[in-house]
Amino acid sequence: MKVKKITIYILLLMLVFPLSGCGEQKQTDTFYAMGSFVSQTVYGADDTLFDSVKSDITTADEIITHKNDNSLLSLLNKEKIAVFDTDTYDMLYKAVDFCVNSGGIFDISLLSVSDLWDFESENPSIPKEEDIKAALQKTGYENIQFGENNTVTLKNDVSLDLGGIGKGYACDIAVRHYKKAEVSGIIAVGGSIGVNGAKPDGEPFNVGIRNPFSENTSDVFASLVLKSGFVSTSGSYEKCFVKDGVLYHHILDTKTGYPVETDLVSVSVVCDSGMNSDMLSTACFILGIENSKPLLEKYGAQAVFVTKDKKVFISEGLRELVTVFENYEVTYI
Amino acid sequence: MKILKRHDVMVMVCLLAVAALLYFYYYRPADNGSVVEIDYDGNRVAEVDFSQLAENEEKTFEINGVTIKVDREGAYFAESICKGQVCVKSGRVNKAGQTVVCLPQRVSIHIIGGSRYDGITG
Repeated sequence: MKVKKITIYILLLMLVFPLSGCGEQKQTDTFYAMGSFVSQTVYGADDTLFDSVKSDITTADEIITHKNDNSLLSLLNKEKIAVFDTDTYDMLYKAVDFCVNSGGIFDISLLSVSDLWDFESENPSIPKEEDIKAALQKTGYENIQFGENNTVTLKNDVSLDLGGIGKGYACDIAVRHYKKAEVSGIIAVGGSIGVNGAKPDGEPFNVGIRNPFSENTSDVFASLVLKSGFVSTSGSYEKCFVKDGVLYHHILDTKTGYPVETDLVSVSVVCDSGMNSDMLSTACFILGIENSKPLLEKYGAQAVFVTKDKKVFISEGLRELVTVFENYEVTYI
Repeated sequence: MKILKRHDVMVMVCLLAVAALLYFYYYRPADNGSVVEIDYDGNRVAEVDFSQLAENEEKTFEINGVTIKVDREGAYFAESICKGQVCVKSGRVNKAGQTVVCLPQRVSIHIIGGSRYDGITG
C-alpha cells in the first residue's frame, strides 16, 4: 500500500515541477545591430548569455558593415585588400561559394550599383542608365580572391555589400550560443529568425510570416512551426519607392542593375543555416518559383512564395508546418 | 483498507492547486494586451497600462524625433522624422506580442503579453 501512495505523490510532483519552470524562466532582450531591431527570447539561461550574444553580433556588425568607414569591410572596399579573422573570412568564402552556386544571380559585389539606387535615402530616385552601366563594370563575385592567412583581395575595383547576409549570419551566431549553453531560444534580427529547441512546455516556436500586402509590420498571413532552424524573408515591399506608377525595390538584377522584374512579392526560406536562408530568400526572389527548386534542393531548404495576385506556393516539406490564414490560393510544390 | 488518509488527500489537493496556478502563470493563453512598453535604444522609457486610461485621455511621448500616442485603444507612432515612415504606416497596436519599431530613430513599442507568435519573418 505504501508503494502505491508514494507512486501517487511522485506523479503529482512530476506534474508540479515541470510547470514550476525550474531553471526554465523566460528571458527577453532587445538591441540594434546589422541595421535591424534584434529581439531574443530564451528559457533558463544564465545572465551572461544575452551579453555574449549581443557582444558577438555587435562585433560582427562592426566588421562587416559597409556603412561605417572604419569597418574592416570598408577598409577592404577602399584598399582592395584586407586580413580578416577566421570567422569572417569563412563567412565571406561561403558567401562567394553561394554566388557561384546561384549562377551569379546573387552577388555580394554589387555595392557600386546599390549605392547609386540608395533605397534608404530620403528621396531615392532612378539612377541614369549610363551610370548603372558604368557601375556594373565594377561588379562580379569572381573578382573576390581568397589568399593565405585570411587575406581577401578585390580585383577590378569591385566593392562588397553584405546586406543580404548579415541578418542571417547574426542568427547563426546567436543559435551557436544557445546550443553551447544548452538552452532553447529564438532570435529575430529584422526579418531573419533563428531557433534552437522547443519551449519548456514542449511546444515548438511559432513564427508569423508577414503579410506582404499590409503596411502594418505586425500583420501576418501565415504561421510557420519552426522546430530548430532558420527562416528569412525577402520582399519587394521593403526599401522601395514608386515613380510614375512603377515600383522600384531593392532586390537588383545582377546583370541589368535594375530591380528584378517578377510576379513575386515575397519569398520565405527555411533551412539549417541562417546565412543560407538569408541568401536563398534573395536568390529565390530573383529566380522565381520553378528556377529556385534546384538551389533549394542543393541547400536542403524549403520555401514559401507569395505572388502579386495573392497565390501562395509552399514546398511540400512545409505542408504540415505552414498554415495560411488569409484567403489565398495555396499550391504545394 | 484505505490507501490514502485524510491528510494525504489534503496534501495532494494542495499540490494540484499549485500545479494549476503555475500552469496559468506560465502558459496563460494569448489575449488582447493592455500594457505597452516604450523603449529607446533597447532601454525602457515608459510603460503604460492603456486599459486604465479614460475614454478621451491620450498620453504623448516625444522620443528622439518620434511622437508616440497612447490612448484607451492602444499605441501608435503618430509622427517621426525618419525617412521611410514605416513606423507611422504600421498604425495602432493593441494585441499582446505586437511590436512596431522605428529603426532609424531606435524607438520601439511593444504590447506585453503572450502572443500567438514568437517572432515574425518579413
